[in-house]
Amino acid sequence: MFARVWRRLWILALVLPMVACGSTEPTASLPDHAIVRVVAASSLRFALPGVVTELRRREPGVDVEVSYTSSGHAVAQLRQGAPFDLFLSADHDFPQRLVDAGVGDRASLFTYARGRLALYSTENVGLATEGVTALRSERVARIAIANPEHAPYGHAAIAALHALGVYDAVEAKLVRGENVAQAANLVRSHAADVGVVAFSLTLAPTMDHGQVLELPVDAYPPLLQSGVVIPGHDGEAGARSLRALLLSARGQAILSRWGFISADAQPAEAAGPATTEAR
Amino acid sequence: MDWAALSLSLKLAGLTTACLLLLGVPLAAWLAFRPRRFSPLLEAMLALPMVLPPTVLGYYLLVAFAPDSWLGRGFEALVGSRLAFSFAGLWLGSMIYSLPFALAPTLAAFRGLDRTLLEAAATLGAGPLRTFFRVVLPSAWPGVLAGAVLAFAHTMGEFGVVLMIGGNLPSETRTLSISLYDQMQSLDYDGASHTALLLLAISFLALSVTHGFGRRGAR
Repeated sequence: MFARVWRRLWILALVLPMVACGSTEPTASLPDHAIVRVVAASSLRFALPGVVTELRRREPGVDVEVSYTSSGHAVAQLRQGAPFDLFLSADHDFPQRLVDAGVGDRASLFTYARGRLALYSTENVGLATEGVTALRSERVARIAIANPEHAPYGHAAIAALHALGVYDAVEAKLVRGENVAQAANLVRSHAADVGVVAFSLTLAPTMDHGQVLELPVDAYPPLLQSGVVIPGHDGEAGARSLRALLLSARGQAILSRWGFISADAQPAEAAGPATTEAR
Repeated sequence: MDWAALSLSLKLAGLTTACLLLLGVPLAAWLAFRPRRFSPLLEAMLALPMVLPPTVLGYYLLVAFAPDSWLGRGFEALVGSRLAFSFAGLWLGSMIYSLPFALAPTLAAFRGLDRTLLEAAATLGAGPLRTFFRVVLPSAWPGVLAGAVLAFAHTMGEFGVVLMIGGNLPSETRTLSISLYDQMQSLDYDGASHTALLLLAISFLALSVTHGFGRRGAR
Protein backbone atom coordinates (compact mmCIF):
# COMPACT_ATOMS: atom_id res chain seq x y z
CA MET A 1 0.00 0.00 0.00
CA PHE A 2 2.86 2.32 0.91
CA ALA A 3 4.42 1.47 -2.40
CA ARG A 4 1.34 2.69 -4.23
CA VAL A 5 1.18 5.87 -2.16
CA TRP A 6 4.85 6.36 -2.73
CA ARG A 7 4.54 5.90 -6.47
CA ARG A 8 1.81 8.52 -6.57
CA LEU A 9 3.86 10.94 -4.50
CA TRP A 10 6.77 10.35 -6.78
CA ILE A 11 4.74 11.23 -9.84
CA LEU A 12 3.36 14.30 -8.09
CA ALA A 13 6.85 15.39 -7.08
CA LEU A 14 7.93 15.02 -10.69
CA VAL A 15 4.99 16.60 -12.41
CA LEU A 16 4.35 19.58 -10.14
CA PRO A 17 7.68 21.31 -10.67
CA MET A 18 7.50 20.66 -14.41
CA VAL A 19 4.11 22.32 -14.55
CA ALA A 20 5.46 25.18 -12.47
CA CYS A 21 8.46 25.43 -14.74
CA GLY A 22 6.48 25.22 -17.94
CA SER A 23 4.07 27.94 -16.90
CA THR A 24 6.81 30.43 -16.16
CA GLU A 25 8.98 29.66 -19.17
CA PRO A 26 10.21 33.05 -20.38
CA THR A 27 8.23 34.05 -23.42
CA ALA A 28 10.08 35.61 -26.31
CA SER A 29 10.42 39.25 -25.36
CA LEU A 30 8.39 41.46 -27.63
CA PRO A 31 9.96 44.72 -28.69
CA ASP A 32 7.24 46.72 -26.93
CA HIS A 33 7.73 44.88 -23.62
CA ALA A 34 11.40 44.47 -22.88
CA ILE A 35 12.77 43.93 -19.39
CA VAL A 36 15.63 46.26 -18.60
CA ARG A 37 17.90 44.81 -15.97
CA VAL A 38 19.82 47.40 -13.98
CA VAL A 39 22.53 46.78 -11.42
CA ALA A 40 22.96 49.88 -9.29
CA ALA A 41 25.11 51.13 -6.44
CA SER A 42 23.21 50.85 -3.18
CA SER A 43 23.48 54.62 -2.64
CA LEU A 44 20.73 54.81 -5.30
CA ARG A 45 18.34 52.58 -3.36
CA PHE A 46 15.86 55.37 -2.65
CA ALA A 47 16.56 57.78 -5.51
CA LEU A 48 16.40 55.37 -8.44
CA PRO A 49 12.84 54.04 -7.92
CA GLY A 50 11.55 57.57 -8.63
CA VAL A 51 13.46 57.70 -11.91
CA VAL A 52 12.24 54.22 -12.85
CA THR A 53 8.62 55.22 -12.15
CA GLU A 54 9.10 58.23 -14.41
CA LEU A 55 10.49 56.01 -17.18
CA ARG A 56 7.52 53.62 -16.87
CA ARG A 57 5.17 56.58 -17.12
CA ARG A 58 6.87 57.80 -20.29
CA GLU A 59 7.39 54.40 -21.88
CA PRO A 60 4.69 52.04 -20.56
CA GLY A 61 6.12 49.09 -22.49
CA VAL A 62 9.43 49.21 -20.65
CA ASP A 63 9.80 47.11 -17.53
CA VAL A 64 12.75 47.86 -15.28
CA GLU A 65 14.18 45.51 -12.67
CA VAL A 66 16.90 46.82 -10.39
CA SER A 67 19.38 44.91 -8.24
CA TYR A 68 21.36 46.91 -5.69
CA THR A 69 24.82 45.98 -4.53
CA SER A 70 28.25 47.51 -4.09
CA SER A 71 29.78 48.87 -7.29
CA GLY A 72 32.78 46.57 -7.09
CA HIS A 73 30.59 43.53 -6.58
CA ALA A 74 28.53 44.58 -9.62
CA VAL A 75 31.68 44.80 -11.75
CA ALA A 76 32.75 41.33 -10.61
CA GLN A 77 29.33 39.95 -11.60
CA LEU A 78 29.27 41.77 -14.93
CA ARG A 79 32.72 40.46 -15.82
CA GLN A 80 31.39 36.96 -15.09
CA GLY A 81 28.66 37.58 -17.64
CA ALA A 82 25.74 38.68 -15.45
CA PRO A 83 22.89 39.66 -17.81
CA PHE A 84 22.44 43.33 -16.88
CA ASP A 85 21.74 46.08 -19.41
CA LEU A 86 22.79 49.10 -17.38
CA PHE A 87 25.35 49.54 -14.62
CA LEU A 88 25.00 52.56 -12.34
CA SER A 89 28.12 52.88 -10.21
CA ALA A 90 28.90 55.07 -7.23
CA ASP A 91 32.12 56.22 -8.89
CA HIS A 92 33.69 56.72 -12.29
CA ASP A 93 36.46 54.17 -11.98
CA PHE A 94 34.38 50.97 -11.95
CA PRO A 95 32.36 51.69 -15.15
CA GLN A 96 35.61 52.80 -16.81
CA ARG A 97 37.13 49.43 -15.92
CA LEU A 98 34.16 47.66 -17.49
CA VAL A 99 34.68 49.65 -20.67
CA ASP A 100 38.38 48.76 -20.65
CA ALA A 101 37.46 45.10 -20.17
CA GLY A 102 35.27 45.28 -23.27
CA VAL A 103 32.03 44.68 -21.37
CA GLY A 104 30.62 48.22 -21.30
CA ASP A 105 29.86 50.41 -24.29
CA ARG A 106 32.53 53.16 -24.26
CA ALA A 107 30.33 55.76 -25.99
CA SER A 108 27.63 55.37 -23.34
CA LEU A 109 29.87 56.08 -20.33
CA PHE A 110 28.16 58.92 -18.44
CA THR A 111 28.28 60.71 -15.10
CA TYR A 112 24.80 61.22 -13.68
CA ALA A 113 25.46 62.71 -10.24
CA ARG A 114 27.95 63.51 -7.53
CA GLY A 115 27.49 61.68 -4.26
CA ARG A 116 27.75 63.24 -0.82
CA LEU A 117 29.07 61.63 2.32
CA ALA A 118 27.40 62.07 5.71
CA LEU A 119 27.70 60.88 9.28
CA TYR A 120 24.52 59.26 10.50
CA SER A 121 23.53 58.22 14.00
CA THR A 122 20.29 57.11 15.63
CA GLU A 123 21.46 58.12 19.09
CA ASN A 124 22.64 61.41 20.46
CA VAL A 125 26.39 60.98 20.27
CA GLY A 126 27.05 64.71 19.88
CA LEU A 127 27.25 65.01 16.10
CA ALA A 128 25.32 68.29 16.24
CA THR A 129 27.39 69.90 18.96
CA GLU A 130 30.88 68.46 18.52
CA GLY A 131 30.89 67.65 14.82
CA VAL A 132 33.38 65.10 13.55
CA THR A 133 35.35 65.07 16.83
CA ALA A 134 32.36 63.30 18.40
CA LEU A 135 33.71 60.19 16.66
CA ARG A 136 36.68 60.23 19.06
CA SER A 137 34.48 60.10 22.16
CA GLU A 138 33.81 56.97 24.17
CA ARG A 139 30.10 57.19 23.38
CA VAL A 140 31.00 56.01 19.90
CA ALA A 141 32.17 52.41 20.10
CA ARG A 142 31.53 51.33 16.52
CA ILE A 143 31.56 53.26 13.25
CA ALA A 144 30.04 51.57 10.21
CA ILE A 145 31.47 52.20 6.75
CA ALA A 146 30.98 50.46 3.43
CA ASN A 147 33.75 48.03 2.50
CA PRO A 148 36.40 50.34 0.97
CA GLU A 149 37.70 47.56 -1.25
CA HIS A 150 34.65 47.35 -3.45
CA ALA A 151 32.33 50.17 -2.38
CA PRO A 152 33.28 53.71 -3.49
CA TYR A 153 31.49 55.24 -0.49
CA GLY A 154 33.66 53.15 1.82
CA HIS A 155 36.77 54.32 -0.02
CA ALA A 156 35.57 57.93 0.27
CA ALA A 157 34.77 57.43 3.98
CA ILE A 158 38.36 56.34 4.69
CA ALA A 159 39.69 59.33 2.73
CA ALA A 160 37.39 61.74 4.60
CA LEU A 161 38.34 60.34 8.02
CA HIS A 162 42.01 60.85 7.07
CA ALA A 163 41.41 64.37 5.77
CA LEU A 164 39.45 65.33 8.89
CA GLY A 165 42.31 64.11 11.05
CA VAL A 166 40.39 61.48 13.01
CA TYR A 167 41.33 58.29 11.18
CA ASP A 168 44.04 57.10 13.59
CA ALA A 169 41.74 57.71 16.56
CA VAL A 170 38.78 55.83 15.08
CA GLU A 171 40.48 53.09 13.04
CA ALA A 172 39.87 50.44 15.70
CA LYS A 173 36.16 51.35 15.83
CA LEU A 174 35.47 50.77 12.13
CA VAL A 175 33.13 47.98 11.06
CA ARG A 176 32.51 47.26 7.41
CA GLY A 177 29.21 46.66 5.68
CA GLU A 178 29.19 44.89 2.32
CA ASN A 179 27.88 48.09 0.72
CA VAL A 180 26.84 51.54 1.88
CA ALA A 181 23.18 50.60 2.45
CA GLN A 182 24.32 47.86 4.77
CA ALA A 183 26.52 50.36 6.61
CA ALA A 184 23.43 52.55 7.11
CA ASN A 185 21.51 49.46 8.17
CA LEU A 186 24.09 48.64 10.84
CA VAL A 187 23.40 52.06 12.38
CA ARG A 188 19.64 51.78 11.97
CA SER A 189 19.66 48.44 13.83
CA HIS A 190 21.93 49.94 16.57
CA ALA A 191 24.75 47.50 15.79
CA ALA A 192 26.93 50.55 15.15
CA ASP A 193 26.72 53.97 16.82
CA VAL A 194 27.64 56.07 13.81
CA GLY A 195 27.81 55.35 10.10
CA VAL A 196 29.74 57.11 7.35
CA VAL A 197 27.09 56.72 4.67
CA ALA A 198 25.68 58.19 1.48
CA PHE A 199 23.78 61.38 2.27
CA SER A 200 21.02 60.15 -0.08
CA LEU A 201 20.30 57.17 2.19
CA THR A 202 19.75 59.40 5.24
CA LEU A 203 16.81 61.01 3.42
CA ALA A 204 14.86 57.73 3.34
CA PRO A 205 11.59 57.78 5.31
CA THR A 206 12.80 54.94 7.55
CA MET A 207 15.93 56.87 8.51
CA ASP A 208 14.20 59.96 9.86
CA HIS A 209 14.87 59.35 13.55
CA GLY A 210 18.57 59.99 13.29
CA GLN A 211 21.10 62.78 13.34
CA VAL A 212 22.78 63.60 10.08
CA LEU A 213 25.95 65.57 9.59
CA GLU A 214 27.20 66.07 6.08
CA LEU A 215 30.96 65.87 5.62
CA PRO A 216 32.71 68.66 3.68
CA VAL A 217 32.79 67.70 0.00
CA ASP A 218 36.47 68.64 -0.29
CA ALA A 219 37.44 66.08 2.37
CA TYR A 220 37.22 63.18 -0.06
CA PRO A 221 37.81 62.58 -3.77
CA PRO A 222 34.63 63.46 -5.68
CA LEU A 223 32.17 60.58 -5.94
CA LEU A 224 31.45 61.03 -9.63
CA GLN A 225 28.62 58.54 -9.87
CA SER A 226 28.77 57.17 -13.39
CA GLY A 227 27.14 54.50 -15.44
CA VAL A 228 27.57 52.52 -18.60
CA VAL A 229 25.30 50.56 -20.94
CA ILE A 230 26.10 46.85 -21.25
CA PRO A 231 25.14 46.00 -24.83
CA GLY A 232 24.03 42.65 -26.15
CA HIS A 233 20.76 41.93 -24.32
CA ASP A 234 17.09 42.61 -25.03
CA GLY A 235 16.93 45.52 -22.61
CA GLU A 236 19.61 47.60 -24.33
CA ALA A 237 17.21 50.14 -25.86
CA GLY A 238 15.43 50.58 -22.53
CA ALA A 239 18.80 50.98 -20.82
CA ARG A 240 19.60 53.84 -23.19
CA SER A 241 16.22 55.44 -22.40
CA LEU A 242 16.94 55.24 -18.68
CA ARG A 243 20.40 56.72 -19.26
CA ALA A 244 18.88 59.64 -21.18
CA LEU A 245 16.25 60.18 -18.49
CA LEU A 246 18.89 60.24 -15.72
CA LEU A 247 20.77 62.96 -17.60
CA SER A 248 17.62 64.99 -18.40
CA ALA A 249 16.41 67.89 -16.26
CA ARG A 250 13.63 65.70 -14.85
CA GLY A 251 16.02 62.91 -13.86
CA GLN A 252 18.49 65.35 -12.33
CA ALA A 253 15.66 66.95 -10.33
CA ILE A 254 14.70 63.56 -8.85
CA LEU A 255 18.34 62.81 -8.00
CA SER A 256 18.83 66.21 -6.36
CA ARG A 257 15.68 65.71 -4.29
CA TRP A 258 17.44 62.63 -2.93
CA GLY A 259 20.55 64.54 -1.96
CA PHE A 260 22.73 64.10 -5.02
CA ILE A 261 24.67 66.98 -6.54
CA SER A 262 24.27 67.67 -10.23
CA ALA A 263 27.10 65.99 -12.10
CA ASP A 264 28.53 69.16 -13.63
CA ALA A 265 28.16 71.42 -10.58
CA GLN A 266 31.34 73.00 -9.22
CA PRO A 267 32.47 71.88 -5.76
CA ALA A 268 31.95 75.40 -4.39
CA GLU A 269 28.25 75.48 -5.12
CA ALA A 270 27.96 71.89 -4.04
CA ALA A 271 28.47 72.58 -0.35
CA GLY A 272 25.14 72.11 1.39
CA PRO A 273 23.84 73.83 4.51
CA ALA A 274 24.51 70.80 6.66
CA THR A 275 28.25 71.00 6.01
CA THR A 276 30.54 71.32 8.95
CA GLU A 277 34.09 72.63 8.93
CA ALA A 278 37.03 70.30 8.95
CA ARG A 279 38.92 70.31 12.19
CA MET B 1 5.68 40.22 0.45
CA ASP B 2 7.74 39.52 -2.65
CA TRP B 3 5.47 36.96 -4.36
CA ALA B 4 7.79 36.53 -7.33
CA ALA B 5 10.56 35.54 -4.91
CA LEU B 6 8.24 33.11 -3.11
CA SER B 7 7.16 31.39 -6.31
CA LEU B 8 10.77 31.31 -7.52
CA SER B 9 11.91 29.71 -4.26
CA LEU B 10 9.12 27.12 -4.41
CA LYS B 11 9.95 26.34 -8.02
CA LEU B 12 13.66 26.03 -7.30
CA ALA B 13 13.12 23.88 -4.20
CA GLY B 14 10.50 21.71 -5.97
CA LEU B 15 12.66 21.09 -9.02
CA THR B 16 15.76 20.48 -6.95
CA THR B 17 13.95 18.03 -4.68
CA ALA B 18 12.40 16.15 -7.61
CA CYS B 19 15.76 15.79 -9.33
CA LEU B 20 17.50 14.82 -6.10
CA LEU B 21 14.92 12.04 -5.60
CA LEU B 22 15.54 10.74 -9.09
CA LEU B 23 19.27 10.90 -8.58
CA GLY B 24 19.62 10.33 -4.85
CA VAL B 25 17.45 7.24 -4.36
CA PRO B 26 19.31 5.05 -6.90
CA LEU B 27 22.61 6.47 -5.68
CA ALA B 28 21.76 5.69 -2.05
CA ALA B 29 20.62 2.18 -3.04
CA TRP B 30 23.88 1.61 -4.88
CA LEU B 31 25.94 2.85 -1.93
CA ALA B 32 23.93 0.80 0.57
CA PHE B 33 23.52 -2.49 -1.26
CA ARG B 34 26.45 -2.63 -3.67
CA PRO B 35 29.29 -0.98 -1.74
CA ARG B 36 32.63 -0.78 -3.51
CA ARG B 37 36.05 -0.16 -2.08
CA PHE B 38 35.88 3.52 -3.03
CA SER B 39 32.33 3.98 -1.65
CA PRO B 40 33.42 5.62 1.64
CA LEU B 41 35.49 8.13 -0.33
CA LEU B 42 32.60 8.83 -2.67
CA GLU B 43 30.25 9.26 0.29
CA ALA B 44 32.65 11.70 1.92
CA MET B 45 32.85 13.67 -1.32
CA LEU B 46 29.06 13.79 -1.71
CA ALA B 47 28.67 14.90 1.93
CA LEU B 48 31.18 17.73 1.50
CA PRO B 49 28.58 20.45 0.78
CA MET B 50 27.15 19.82 4.25
CA VAL B 51 30.26 21.17 5.96
CA LEU B 52 31.74 23.35 3.22
CA PRO B 53 31.29 27.11 3.65
CA PRO B 54 28.70 28.19 1.05
CA THR B 55 31.16 30.78 -0.22
CA VAL B 56 33.66 28.05 -1.11
CA LEU B 57 31.03 26.17 -3.08
CA GLY B 58 29.79 29.43 -4.62
CA TYR B 59 33.30 30.33 -5.68
CA TYR B 60 33.95 26.98 -7.37
CA LEU B 61 30.54 27.03 -9.06
CA LEU B 62 31.15 30.55 -10.35
CA VAL B 63 34.51 29.45 -11.75
CA ALA B 64 32.92 26.35 -13.28
CA PHE B 65 30.02 28.35 -14.76
CA ALA B 66 32.22 31.05 -16.32
CA PRO B 67 31.49 31.49 -20.03
CA ASP B 68 35.05 30.42 -20.92
CA SER B 69 35.01 27.20 -18.83
CA TRP B 70 34.18 23.87 -20.45
CA LEU B 71 30.95 23.56 -18.45
CA GLY B 72 29.86 27.13 -19.17
CA ARG B 73 30.77 26.81 -22.85
CA GLY B 74 29.11 23.44 -23.20
CA PHE B 75 25.90 24.62 -21.57
CA GLU B 76 25.80 27.75 -23.70
CA ALA B 77 26.32 25.70 -26.86
CA LEU B 78 23.55 23.27 -25.86
CA VAL B 79 20.92 25.58 -24.39
CA GLY B 80 21.90 28.95 -25.80
CA SER B 81 21.95 30.74 -22.46
CA ARG B 82 24.52 31.13 -19.74
CA LEU B 83 24.72 29.16 -16.50
CA ALA B 84 26.05 31.89 -14.24
CA PHE B 85 23.37 34.27 -12.94
CA SER B 86 20.55 32.16 -14.37
CA PHE B 87 17.85 29.97 -12.91
CA ALA B 88 19.45 26.90 -14.47
CA GLY B 89 22.73 27.69 -12.74
CA LEU B 90 20.93 28.14 -9.44
CA TRP B 91 19.17 24.82 -9.94
CA LEU B 92 22.42 22.98 -10.64
CA GLY B 93 24.08 24.69 -7.67
CA SER B 94 21.17 23.79 -5.38
CA MET B 95 21.34 20.15 -6.49
CA ILE B 96 24.97 19.94 -5.44
CA TYR B 97 24.41 21.91 -2.27
CA SER B 98 21.36 19.94 -1.09
CA LEU B 99 22.41 16.47 -2.26
CA PRO B 100 23.85 15.37 1.12
CA PHE B 101 20.63 16.41 2.85
CA ALA B 102 18.59 14.19 0.54
CA LEU B 103 21.12 11.37 0.54
CA ALA B 104 21.93 10.96 4.25
CA PRO B 105 18.44 9.99 5.58
CA THR B 106 17.79 7.79 2.52
CA LEU B 107 21.08 6.01 2.95
CA ALA B 108 20.48 5.53 6.68
CA ALA B 109 17.03 4.08 6.00
CA PHE B 110 18.38 1.66 3.39
CA ARG B 111 21.19 0.55 5.67
CA GLY B 112 18.80 0.06 8.57
CA LEU B 113 16.71 -2.46 6.63
CA ASP B 114 16.54 -6.02 7.84
CA ARG B 115 18.86 -7.90 5.47
CA THR B 116 16.92 -11.13 5.93
CA LEU B 117 13.96 -9.46 4.16
CA LEU B 118 16.10 -8.81 1.11
CA GLU B 119 17.46 -12.35 1.21
CA ALA B 120 13.94 -13.73 1.53
CA ALA B 121 12.87 -11.74 -1.51
CA ALA B 122 15.83 -13.04 -3.47
CA THR B 123 15.13 -16.60 -2.38
CA LEU B 124 11.56 -16.21 -3.58
CA GLY B 125 12.93 -15.28 -6.98
CA ALA B 126 12.55 -11.51 -7.01
CA GLY B 127 15.13 -9.62 -9.07
CA PRO B 128 17.00 -6.62 -7.66
CA LEU B 129 14.58 -4.08 -9.22
CA ARG B 130 11.52 -5.94 -7.98
CA THR B 131 13.05 -6.30 -4.52
CA PHE B 132 13.82 -2.58 -4.51
CA PHE B 133 10.31 -1.48 -5.41
CA ARG B 134 8.37 -4.13 -3.48
CA VAL B 135 10.55 -4.53 -0.37
CA VAL B 136 13.11 -1.74 0.04
CA LEU B 137 11.06 1.34 -0.84
CA PRO B 138 7.88 0.31 1.02
CA SER B 139 9.81 -0.18 4.26
CA ALA B 140 12.35 2.62 3.87
CA TRP B 141 10.09 5.35 2.51
CA PRO B 142 10.05 7.47 5.70
CA GLY B 143 13.79 7.92 5.26
CA VAL B 144 13.37 8.82 1.59
CA LEU B 145 10.64 11.30 2.47
CA ALA B 146 12.76 12.79 5.24
CA GLY B 147 15.55 13.28 2.70
CA ALA B 148 13.19 14.93 0.26
CA VAL B 149 11.74 17.27 2.88
CA LEU B 150 15.20 18.20 4.18
CA ALA B 151 16.44 18.88 0.65
CA PHE B 152 13.36 21.01 -0.03
CA ALA B 153 13.73 23.00 3.19
CA HIS B 154 17.45 23.40 2.73
CA THR B 155 17.00 24.72 -0.82
CA MET B 156 14.29 27.12 0.35
CA GLY B 157 16.68 28.54 2.93
CA GLU B 158 19.84 28.55 0.86
CA PHE B 159 21.54 31.95 0.90
CA GLY B 160 25.30 32.10 0.44
CA VAL B 161 25.53 30.05 -2.73
CA VAL B 162 22.52 31.80 -4.28
CA LEU B 163 23.97 35.22 -3.49
CA MET B 164 27.27 34.30 -5.11
CA ILE B 165 26.09 32.54 -8.26
CA GLY B 166 22.65 34.16 -8.64
CA GLY B 167 23.36 37.87 -8.66
CA ASN B 168 19.98 38.90 -7.16
CA LEU B 169 18.04 39.16 -10.43
CA PRO B 170 14.32 39.75 -9.75
CA SER B 171 12.14 36.79 -10.86
CA GLU B 172 15.21 34.90 -12.12
CA THR B 173 17.51 34.37 -9.15
CA ARG B 174 16.07 36.51 -6.33
CA THR B 175 14.86 33.77 -4.00
CA LEU B 176 12.97 34.39 -0.78
CA SER B 177 16.07 34.40 1.41
CA ILE B 178 17.78 36.90 -0.94
CA SER B 179 14.61 38.98 -0.95
CA LEU B 180 14.78 39.12 2.86
CA TYR B 181 18.38 40.33 2.64
CA ASP B 182 17.29 42.91 0.08
CA GLN B 183 14.41 44.12 2.24
CA MET B 184 16.80 44.54 5.17
CA GLN B 185 19.13 46.59 3.00
CA SER B 186 16.35 48.84 1.80
CA LEU B 187 15.36 49.31 5.48
CA ASP B 188 11.97 47.72 4.78
CA TYR B 189 11.64 46.12 8.21
CA ASP B 190 7.93 45.31 7.83
CA GLY B 191 8.54 43.40 4.62
CA ALA B 192 11.60 41.72 6.12
CA SER B 193 9.68 40.51 9.16
CA HIS B 194 6.94 39.02 6.95
CA THR B 195 9.47 37.22 4.80
CA ALA B 196 11.40 35.99 7.82
CA LEU B 197 8.22 34.70 9.44
CA LEU B 198 7.22 32.86 6.27
CA LEU B 199 10.64 31.21 5.98
CA LEU B 200 10.49 30.26 9.64
CA ALA B 201 7.03 28.74 9.15
CA ILE B 202 8.14 26.75 6.09
CA SER B 203 11.17 25.38 7.94
CA PHE B 204 9.12 24.46 10.98
CA LEU B 205 6.46 22.80 8.84
CA ALA B 206 9.07 20.82 6.95
CA LEU B 207 10.68 19.55 10.13
CA SER B 208 7.28 18.71 11.65
CA VAL B 209 6.47 16.62 8.59
CA THR B 210 9.80 14.83 8.83
CA HIS B 211 9.44 14.07 12.51
CA GLY B 212 5.82 13.04 12.12
CA PHE B 213 6.62 10.56 9.37
CA GLY B 214 9.72 9.44 11.21
CA ARG B 215 7.54 8.33 14.10
CA ARG B 216 5.05 6.60 11.87
CA GLY B 217 7.88 4.82 10.10
CA ALA B 218 9.38 3.66 13.40
CA ARG B 219 6.16 2.00 14.53
